[in-house]
Order: sequence, then C-alpha cells, then structure tokens
Amino acid sequence: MVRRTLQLISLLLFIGHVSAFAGGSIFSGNGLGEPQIQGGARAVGLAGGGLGLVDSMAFNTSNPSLAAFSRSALFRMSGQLGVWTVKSDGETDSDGEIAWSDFTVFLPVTGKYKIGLGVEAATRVDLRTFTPREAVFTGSDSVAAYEERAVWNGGTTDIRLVNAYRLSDRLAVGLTLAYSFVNLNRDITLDFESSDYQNAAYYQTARFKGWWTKVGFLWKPADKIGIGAYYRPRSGGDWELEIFENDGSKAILTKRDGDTPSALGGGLSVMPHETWAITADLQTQFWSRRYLGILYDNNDQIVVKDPLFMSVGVEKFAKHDRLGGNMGQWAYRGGFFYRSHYWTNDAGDPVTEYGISLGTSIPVGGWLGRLHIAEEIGSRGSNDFGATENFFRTSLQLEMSEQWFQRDNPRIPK
Amino acid sequence: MSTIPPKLIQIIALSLILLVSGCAQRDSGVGINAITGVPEQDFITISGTATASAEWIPELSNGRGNSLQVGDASDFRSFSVLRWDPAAALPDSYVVESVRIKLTTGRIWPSTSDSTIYVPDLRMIVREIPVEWDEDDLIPGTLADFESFEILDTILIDSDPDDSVFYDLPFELWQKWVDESLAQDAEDTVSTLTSYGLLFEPANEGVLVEFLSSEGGSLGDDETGSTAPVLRMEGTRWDLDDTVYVSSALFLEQLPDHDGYLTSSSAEPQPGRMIVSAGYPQRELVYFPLDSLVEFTERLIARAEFRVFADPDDPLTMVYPNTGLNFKTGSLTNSDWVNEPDSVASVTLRFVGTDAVALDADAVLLKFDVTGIVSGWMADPAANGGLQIQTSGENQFLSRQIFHNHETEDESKRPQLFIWYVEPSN
Repeated sequence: MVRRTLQLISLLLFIGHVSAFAGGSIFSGNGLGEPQIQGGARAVGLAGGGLGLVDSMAFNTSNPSLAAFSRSALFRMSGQLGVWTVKSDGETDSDGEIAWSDFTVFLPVTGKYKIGLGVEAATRVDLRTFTPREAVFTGSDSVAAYEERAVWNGGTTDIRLVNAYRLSDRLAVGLTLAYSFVNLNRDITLDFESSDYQNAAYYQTARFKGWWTKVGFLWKPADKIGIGAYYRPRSGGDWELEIFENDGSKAILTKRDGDTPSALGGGLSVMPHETWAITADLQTQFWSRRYLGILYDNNDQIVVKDPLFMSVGVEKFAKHDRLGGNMGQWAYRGGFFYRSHYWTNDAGDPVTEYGISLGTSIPVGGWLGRLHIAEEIGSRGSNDFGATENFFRTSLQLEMSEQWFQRDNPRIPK
Repeated sequence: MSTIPPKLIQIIALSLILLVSGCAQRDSGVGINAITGVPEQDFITISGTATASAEWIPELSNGRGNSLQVGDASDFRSFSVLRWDPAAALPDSYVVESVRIKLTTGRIWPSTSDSTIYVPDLRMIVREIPVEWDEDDLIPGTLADFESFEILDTILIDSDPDDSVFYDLPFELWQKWVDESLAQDAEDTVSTLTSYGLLFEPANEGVLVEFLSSEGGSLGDDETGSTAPVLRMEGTRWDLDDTVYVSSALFLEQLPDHDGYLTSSSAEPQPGRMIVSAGYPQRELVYFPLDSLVEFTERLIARAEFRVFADPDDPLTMVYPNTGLNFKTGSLTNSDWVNEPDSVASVTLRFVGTDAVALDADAVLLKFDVTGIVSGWMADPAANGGLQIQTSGENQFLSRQIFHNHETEDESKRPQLFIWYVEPSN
C-alpha cells in the first residue's frame, strides 16, 4: 500500500509538473483562453465526444451522470503536450506547451450513488509575442518605431464535485457543483526606439471567481444505444481587474459582477458490435460579450458568437473490456471534429477548426489501470487576416482503480 | 513485493521523451492579428492650450553670479555692491601709496555695434555703504535706502565692452577699512565696522553695463591683467630676511569678499504677454487642465511637450547682443495659484527640469520635454500644479524675454501642451 502510494505520488509529481517554458495557441490570447477538451483523454480520442457512452472507467466526465456506472474507486490524472504552428502574412512560427489537464477521484458511496472530486483546466492562455511595429500618432506627423512585447497567460480552473446516481441499469442522473477560478494576465510592453518617447508597459490581471452547476443524464433505451446530455445554466461570479502601469506604479482595482455562459451538450452512442462503438456529439454554449470579462469592457467592437462543437468518433474496445472486468488488451479509437469558437475576427466571423483525433488505451499492470493516449491533429483559422494555425495535441491520462491501493500482501492473523 | 510494471516504466519513459521533445518557444509576432484586443498601432496626440498663467518673482540672490550690473534701461535699474577686507591681504610692514579699484566691463545694452542706436556713456555714482550686507542675501528690497548713503564720487564710463574701469579709492576710506578690520580681529565678538564697501549706481538712463564679478573674472598674472573686480594696492613692503628688513615693491590685487548686484524692474507686460527674466528673476506659471485625459487611467504618456511662443518684437525684450538665452521648465506642487493669485508667493517647485533649451532658429518657439512631469500627473492627477518657465541662469546677467500667455489675441501663440499617448485597444 505504501509502495503503491509512493509510486502514485512520483507519477503525480511527474505529470502534474507544469513547466511554463513554452507557448500555446496563438488564439489563446482571445477571451477567456483556448477551451480545453474536457472529459478525459478517452474523450479527446473520440474527437471530444462520448457523452452517451459508458462502458469503462474512462467515461467522459463532462456528463456527470456517467460516473454512476462505475463500480470501484477511480483516480485519474492527465496532462497534455501540444505543438502549434502559425502561418500569417507569409511567415510561420511554431511553439509547444506542456500542461496539466485533470486530477479527479471518483468514490462509490453506495451501490447506486457515486461522487467525484477533481480539479480540471477548462481554458488555457499561454502566449508570448515579440513584434516590431510602427506607431502612428494621429493628430500629428509623428511616427515612431517600437517593439511590442506581449505575454498572455492564465486560464480557468474548475474544482468540481460530481454527484451521480444510477436510477436503474439504463438510467442515471448527475449533478456537478463546481467553483471556477479564472486568472488572465496580460503584460504588454511598448519599447520605443527613440529616446524622445517614453516606453509604456501595462500589466493587467483579471480574475473571476464563481460557482456553476451542471445537470446530466444518461439513458440507454437499448443495450447497445446510449443517449447522454448535460445542461449547465448561466451562473454568476465576480470579476476584478488590477492594472499596473509604468508611469508611477499605478494599481487600479476595479470590480464588477460577471457571468459564465450557459452550455448544452448531447451525445449518442451506438454499439453495432460488442467490441465497437460509434459516437456522435454536439455541444454549444450561449455567449454574450459581457462574458468575455472585465478586460474587454471598454471594447464595443468585439463580437462573440455561440460556439458549436461537433464530433464523431469510433472505438474498438479491448476484449472483455467491461467495468470491473478483465482489462488485458488495448483499445483504439478515432474521430473527426469541427468546432466553431466564440471568438470572431474583425469581420465578425467565428474562428473555426477541424481535425481528426486518434487514441489508444493501454492496460497498465494488468488489472491496475489504464494509460490513455490521444492525439488531435487539426487546423484552426481566421481567414480575414490570413492567420491559420495547425495543432498537434497529445493527451496522456493515467487511470487507476481502487485495486491499486490494496495491500500487496494481506495481513495473516497470528 | 510488487514493483512498477515494466510496461508502465516503458510508457512513462516514452511519455517523457514526447513531453520534452515538443518544447519550443514562440517569440515572434507571427499570428498576432489572431488576437483580439492587441494594442493598435495608431496612437493619439492631443493638445490643449493653457487656461491660466501667473507671474512668480522668487526672492533669489545673484551674489554668486558671474556678472555685476550697473545701469538704467529697458525698465531695469541695477546697482552693484562690492566689499573688501584689505587688512587680510597686507603684509606686516608696508607703506601703501595708491589704492584703486579696477572693474572690467563685459556686455553693453543696447548694442554698441549698431550705429543706428545711440548708446550713452554710463555715469556711475559711487557711495559708501554704512550697513552690513552679504552677497548671499541680496534679495529684492535689500539696501532699500541706498540713496541715503554718502556719495563719494562719480565715474564716467565709456560704453565699450571688455574695457577696464578704474576708481581711485579715497585714501581715508581705505585706511578706515584697514583700521576697522584690525580692530574687529581684536574684538572678535563685537562689531567695530562702520563701512561695508562701495555701491555703484547709474546716474543716467539708457544703458546697462555688465562688469565681471569675482566669480566671473579672474586675477591677473605677470602677462595678463585681472578681469575680476580687484582692489589694487601699490607701495612698498618690508620683509624680514634673516635679521634685516628688506624693502620691495608692494603690488596687491585683492578680490572682494562679497560682490553682487540688485535690480528693480518697472516693466509691465502688455495684455496677452508674460515676462521671464534673469538678473531680476521672474518666472511664469502656466496651467493645463488634464481632466479629460486622466479619467482614462489606461492611457500612458509616450511623450509630452510644453510649447511657448516668444514675442521678439515686444519693446520690453532685453537680451544682450550675441547672447543666447536658455530656459528651463519645472512642475509645481499645487494649483492653488490658479484661483488665488495671492498664493503665487507661496508656490513651490516639485521638480525642475535639468535640460536647458533655447528658442528655435526664428527665436519664437520654445519646446520643453515634459514627458516625466505629465506622466506623473497621469499617475496622480492631484499633483498637477502647472508648469513654470524660468531662465537657466537666473542669477547671471540681466535679460528679459517676453512670451505670449494664455490670453494672447493670437490663439496659435498661446502656451500649448502636446501629449502623445498610448493605450490598449480594449
């Protein structure tokens, strides 16, 4: 037990260590950041879907009701490695990022009631740019060359309490209660070449805290069909903004109430064969410009659209891959996704992306757990400015059942 | 005892390789147009004219300047004062046969090189000063009753620059200086002095003459004569050579212990004008309200310029020929003077600019870089007490420059503040 725990801790430290020594998507500087594909690495392998698929402990945690079908305590932790390549104005640039994604524990309370407690990254901002520009001062003939150095970082972290109740073998409901922390930093420095101009530096930190809830259900009208859905109502919270500027170390703390958008998602899973499943999912949110947060309050020009995530996936299960059953073989999956984000370009068109996903699940230590690996390959763009981005994201997730925590040698009573 | 399964170790190792190999650093502006809310490249310049101005006459002593001034012209009236302690320079055994004061002229106003302008010679009245004074305390109002001092003599000076002027000091007066100095040394605590040097005032109008002061001139040597004001004593001296006193020529040139000048000004600017002068230090205060700018706290000042326009044709302008004037600006601690003109006397400087600037080639525009000052106002709007203009050598030679103030009839000539600022686009 102790040895297992130490091994777990060492793995946790390894995967949980976040080195901010790289940058992420060029689009992560927008809004609250780049939305993370939630639900686990298995969901990533299914192009972000699987809301109606429950067959193993690797269920999509975006639907809180799916936890009701697990039979043992589960622990999962995941991280991701991403590489983004941007093309804009005939130039290209690449960057990579390592980040954590998820730490969650699911515990059975009763045979029908399960709870889960976890921390998950919902959005991520990680970007640094270095741009030579020329300032045009309207109202005069002055033009000045300067260097703009900007750093965006931060993101959204949700602490979740998942409650799942299995009403029957075919129906389960779930409720997630979560607390969100949003931290967005924008540090921008304008370094003028000429000493005639004083450099400008803005250090802005916007923070949001608030509760949200989500309800979900899973219904299996037939043994091989699963329909799952969730709804997250709009919820409130508080924004605060601090600004530090280099004209005298000025700090301004402004506050206002805020909201997070409501969200709706649903998925269908069909198992044409006992070792195959096909999934199709649709997720959306209902956005308002106000949800962008306090950093954008003075910008009336920004337009937001309701995002739409569409995913289709297929999975080949490992043989005898049932909850609590034999996990001796690998599983494979793949999918296709199309996503339209709430960010828009200056023309008001949403930024869209499409791509494919691939994934596999590898049994770890026989009955002990699974390592899920998923790869997303996609392209994201804003055609009006010619900025397009290709991304390659690898998600790694380690899942362990409660057997991991059992003693190796049961005590023999004297 | 169980260990980590080998497969897990392999997977972790593979994961490590994947994680490490993917690291790179984006450090370019490629794709920056994909980000909403990036600061625009178009920044703003705004300008405004001053809404208030006031005259400030600080009480400064120019006793440490390079110049002495005597004259009555262009609404300036100046007299110079000098004081020596000859006993300090004399040897133990001496006989003085002549004592004279030498002054060296500097600049003359009006210019003597312009044949169309009549420049009279300067007649100076020499008075004995009976009251104590100090060159560091020659503020306006000092020696106010100088016209009651005893007149010793008058001197007529040719209005030529770089000329030497001699005044033969009455021997009795010199003797009194020596005797009183020796008596003062003996008493130590009680003042026995009744004579405190000489005062030179103008007897006629129309000319201003600059003399070099002890700080502006120098003592002469065997090859060059003194240019500083000196008390020249000549005679015979005896010095002990072993056991015998040997005589030699006595020739001493002594710098004054204290020298300086006092000026009064009767100049009144015409409407729409303001005076900045040196010798008689006069500064101008100017106020710019920035309320419409400071309410947007995200704006940062990239550059700020304070511009004032001179009126070179104003009859009160007085600048020595071939002399360039430099000016400085500064910020004030509060703006009470805007609504309470009487509070100008108590205004204090918060910051004085270190750079001195001159008028442009047309002798009209004066531009100050006030980026630091205006940036401070953005950070703390209550600190906006306005700006001041002064000459960079207030305690040097006399000069007066006239500028347009905030009420001048030509709006384009009113004091202006140009501000270049930047702000995030959102």
